[in-house]
Amino acid sequence: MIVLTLMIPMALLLGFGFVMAFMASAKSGQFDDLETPALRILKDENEKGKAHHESN
Amino acid sequence: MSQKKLPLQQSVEEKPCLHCKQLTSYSNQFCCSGCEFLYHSHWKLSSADLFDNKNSPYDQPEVKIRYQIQLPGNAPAYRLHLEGLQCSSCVHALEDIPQYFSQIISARVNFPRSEIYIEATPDHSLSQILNFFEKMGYPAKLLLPEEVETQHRLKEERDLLSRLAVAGACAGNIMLLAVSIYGGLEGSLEFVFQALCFVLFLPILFYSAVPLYRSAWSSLQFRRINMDFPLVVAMWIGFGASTFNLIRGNGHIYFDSTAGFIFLILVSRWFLRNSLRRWTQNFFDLDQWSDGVFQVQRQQKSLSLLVSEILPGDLLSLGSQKVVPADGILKVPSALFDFSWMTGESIPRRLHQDMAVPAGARVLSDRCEIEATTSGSQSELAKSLRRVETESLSQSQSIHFFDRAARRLLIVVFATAGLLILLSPFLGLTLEEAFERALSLFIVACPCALAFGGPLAYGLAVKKAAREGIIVKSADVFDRINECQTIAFDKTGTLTEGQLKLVKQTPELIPDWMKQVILSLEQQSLHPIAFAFRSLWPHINVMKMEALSIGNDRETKIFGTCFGHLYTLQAGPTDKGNLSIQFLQDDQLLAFFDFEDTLRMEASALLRHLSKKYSLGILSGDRQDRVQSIAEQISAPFSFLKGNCTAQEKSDWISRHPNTLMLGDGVNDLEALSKAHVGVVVQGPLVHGLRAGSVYFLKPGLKPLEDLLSLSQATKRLIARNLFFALSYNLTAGLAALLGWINPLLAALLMPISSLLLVASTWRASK
Repeated sequence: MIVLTLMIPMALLLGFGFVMAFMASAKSGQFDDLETPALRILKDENEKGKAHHESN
Repeated sequence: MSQKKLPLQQSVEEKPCLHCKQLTSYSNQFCCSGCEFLYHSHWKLSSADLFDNKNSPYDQPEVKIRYQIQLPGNAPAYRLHLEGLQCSSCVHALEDIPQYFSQIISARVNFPRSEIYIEATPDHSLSQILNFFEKMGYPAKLLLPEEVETQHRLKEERDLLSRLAVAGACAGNIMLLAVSIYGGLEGSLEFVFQALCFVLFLPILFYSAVPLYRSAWSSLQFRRINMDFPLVVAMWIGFGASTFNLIRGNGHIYFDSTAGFIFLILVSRWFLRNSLRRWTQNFFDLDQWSDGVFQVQRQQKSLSLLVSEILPGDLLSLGSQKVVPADGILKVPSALFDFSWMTGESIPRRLHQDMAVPAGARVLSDRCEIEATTSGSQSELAKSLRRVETESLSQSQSIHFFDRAARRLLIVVFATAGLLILLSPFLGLTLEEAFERALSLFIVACPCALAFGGPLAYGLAVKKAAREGIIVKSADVFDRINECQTIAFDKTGTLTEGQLKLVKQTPELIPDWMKQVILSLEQQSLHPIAFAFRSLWPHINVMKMEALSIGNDRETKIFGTCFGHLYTLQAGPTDKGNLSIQFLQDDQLLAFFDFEDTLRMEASALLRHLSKKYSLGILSGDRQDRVQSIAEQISAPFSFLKGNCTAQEKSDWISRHPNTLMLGDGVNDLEALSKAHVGVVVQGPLVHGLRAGSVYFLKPGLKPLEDLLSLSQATKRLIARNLFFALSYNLTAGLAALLGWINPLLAALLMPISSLLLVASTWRASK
């Protein structure tokens, strides 16, 4: 069971690190708008060519 | 106003959009301007195509600076509100703007807020930028830096999110540790795990729960106890008892369940806040009334000013569709105004030189000049809006169903716990054991239904209402609606279609020349009668004739000459509240027409149904005979019918009758609406409507009212069910634990499961 003295602090430290990372990203405004980035990523770089092709 | 995602359009036949394949009912094959823009990728605009007006007020340097977001060293930046954002294509098309339009360097869309943030070149023309968005199909409105989501509000939101994250992480870890404790951990390791739980609980206590303390404290300052107070007490009792037991090395610790419930409370509050904000905040930021820049002559100098900068004595020159920013006096021979914002009346009125023009009237003529008699912020309209605003802020939050139910539940739990301690000698328990068990009952039974069942049910109700086109300002509206006993309809217009229909004409057959003269007389008119005539004879051509109109508050008369005769259209004697129009040739009566405002189809049935539960009535500025005739047509039992009401009379009536739900429109009703137990705004400027009332209907007609009433009842039932479920579950589980039928590990597992069941059942019921 001695391994617990290593495991538990490690687990807690890991968790603490993630909480810190989350707080930092919240502070920098990453969660202010959760909708637009999801739409932005849908953008197809070839969209213009494709649209043109379909219209022809 | 952005109306995205709200099903406003009656779906006719849905076809996939040519570009994004999303189903659309629009006739032009695209779901939005963004798709059309991307589909025709050859679409290019040069500055030359754009409206170029060196004198546009938006290009004056002082105006540009007023709207600019101040970022030192950066390119000039603006934030605009766009209408018509629909789908991802809109985001793509708008963010690609720099490729098409050289004056914009970068563009960032905030889709849920319908906003775009742009950086422009130093030599940009603001009027051309606005025109560009307009040409793309997104009418834009500049937001003033103070209207922009302020740093303060953003900070608060991010702060809440961080608190939520900390609570989640700590509660999760505490629960993991607790499982091993319940699983039978013994000796020094048990103490270490319990101590770790204690340490992990501290951030929740001193960081995550701070908003709860604030809210509990502020309610205590007003000598009221809100929901947060017992939650804070329960949390500290749980913490205190657990810490005490930890130190003396004996007895239960409750860190896990207490942490879990704090986390769930914060989550459900976050959800409620977001669903409310999503639908209301957008509208609050858009001050439609004080929109834009005004051209002003002050001491022989031409200036471009915002509403707040207008002073008495300024000569305002206003174009068509502009809203008069300050009370003033008309300085041109005559001009047409639309007063619908203030009165709800859509009939335009013509004013003559030197007549007073109130702020808020909309100019319908091409151009007019008004000398301001008040400053922009001191007009009657601005004052009345401020009154409404302070009133709605100070509106006391009465004790509602949810609070009452929560309080009763608390009393039951306290009483049970107290009884257990009192009866402990008879049950064969030591006082210490009894106290311990009472405490476990208290902690286990109280929180879950109270703390998050309620907010979750309200949040889902807000969302559901928004889908039906009902914007709700705050969640307690649903409780207040259930308390209402009276429904007062403001104008008859909420009950009628607002479109006039011909019911009788004499002679039976109107010759074509007469139709032509009538239509020609009415060709400039925006009066509902003019529209009625136009829809009656759609194929008749109009001719040019000299038409003049004279009008005052009660009657409108239009006359004109052609073929050597003087023709007149005027209001005739009324019959049963109908609108009667006479047509005269040189003072000789040739024909007359009776128009009727048709009743909404659903009005009769709905009102008869409502009259079983509520007392109904009409409080209207319309004529008494008209109110009577509408009431007769509906044939529902009305308990009061008041015509010719002024805004003050309405407001007084509402103050005398508590528990009234009032449906109204127009700025002149705002005071009455803000005093009503529930104020429902059916038309008019939404921003001010929502400040005064608590509900806004985006859809016309009475269906939203029906939806709103049934949704409120459903929400009440759901909350009652949640409370009942939580109470019976917790009491059963608590008693079972007290009698030793359930071991602590099973109890600890059952609690989150019961919470999840509660969430799932709420979610399902709200679908």
